[in-house]
Amino acid sequence: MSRSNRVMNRIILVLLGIVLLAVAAGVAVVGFEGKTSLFGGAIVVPDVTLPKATSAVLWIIAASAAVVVILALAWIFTRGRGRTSTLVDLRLADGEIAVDVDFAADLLDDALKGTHDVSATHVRGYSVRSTPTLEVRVVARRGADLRGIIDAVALATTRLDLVLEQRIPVLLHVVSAVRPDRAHENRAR
Amino acid sequence: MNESKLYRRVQRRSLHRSRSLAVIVALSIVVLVLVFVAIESVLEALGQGPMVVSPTDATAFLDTNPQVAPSIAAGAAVLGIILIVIALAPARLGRHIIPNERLAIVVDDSALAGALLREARTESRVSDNRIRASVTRRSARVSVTPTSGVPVNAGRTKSVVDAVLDDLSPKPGVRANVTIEKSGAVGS
Repeated sequence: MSRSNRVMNRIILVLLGIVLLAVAAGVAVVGFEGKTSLFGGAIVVPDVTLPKATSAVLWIIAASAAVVVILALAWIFTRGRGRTSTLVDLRLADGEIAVDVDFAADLLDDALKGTHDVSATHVRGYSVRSTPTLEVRVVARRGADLRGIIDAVALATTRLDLVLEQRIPVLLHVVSAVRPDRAHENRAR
Repeated sequence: MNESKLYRRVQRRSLHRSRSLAVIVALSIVVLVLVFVAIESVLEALGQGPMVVSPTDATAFLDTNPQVAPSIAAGAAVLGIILIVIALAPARLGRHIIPNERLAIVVDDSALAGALLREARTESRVSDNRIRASVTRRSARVSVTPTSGVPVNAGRTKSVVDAVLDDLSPKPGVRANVTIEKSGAVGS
């Protein structure tokens, strides 16, 4: 649920792919140097002469490499942003009310503790298009009652709404436990 | 942003991988290569000796040994095609959306399979290790190995599985496929 620009991620990958294919074509042309055409004239090999590596050319190469490096590092270090720790931030005439994500996490965690099929709950806050949003990841036991889990989380969320006096968007993500409950499977029958 | 629009956005984004990892790996390699190129270019421009190889020597090597060109070209082309495939492939995660009026819900296919397994197990009354369920994007498979001599009603098992799918109505839609194994197993 991070803020990563996914379209841009894909565009960058496509651009890098095209650059690599262009490099491949360029290097291949060098390999066919001396021949003017391939496959009996089907493909014409262009005559390329690389520019002489003068000091000006070298400085230009170094400078453009540096620019690309800075842009690339900036992109790398801005991935996965969007987490927030503040769920509610109200500025009133006579003061300010701020509610932390941890507060909501504790409430939800507590409300779901009694649900048998839930083995763990993880709550995180994200800012989605500048709207504070909760992501509730619930780890369900093997063969869990999905409807029961959904209803329990929905009920816990409506209680949270009452406490906060506002409706917070919630994404419920149900994952299943990696290991099945061995104790349950191995019990005497 | 209103709630239903926001929910559609987070659900849509939850069904696909972000490719951030691929971009980070690819760009890190680009950074390493370009830092090397930049350093060698500056060293040669200043008339200093190269760190490993100067740009002039590198291009001269390729010019005098054209036989290495095809392998370099092939390597670069393969990497380029891999990146384009990563960018254009749908990168779906095995998950389904479940409609709800209060929450945006996304469930892993294994959790959805677990819910089907639970109901099918209760109906067919076999033990946990005799029943298997799996969910893919469009279909669910439940297979039951009955206990020898205790028949399992395929139609009823199918209808309880269908009832669960009806109730949850995952998106994209899932069709159930229930099979009862011909040969049962001995024991409980």
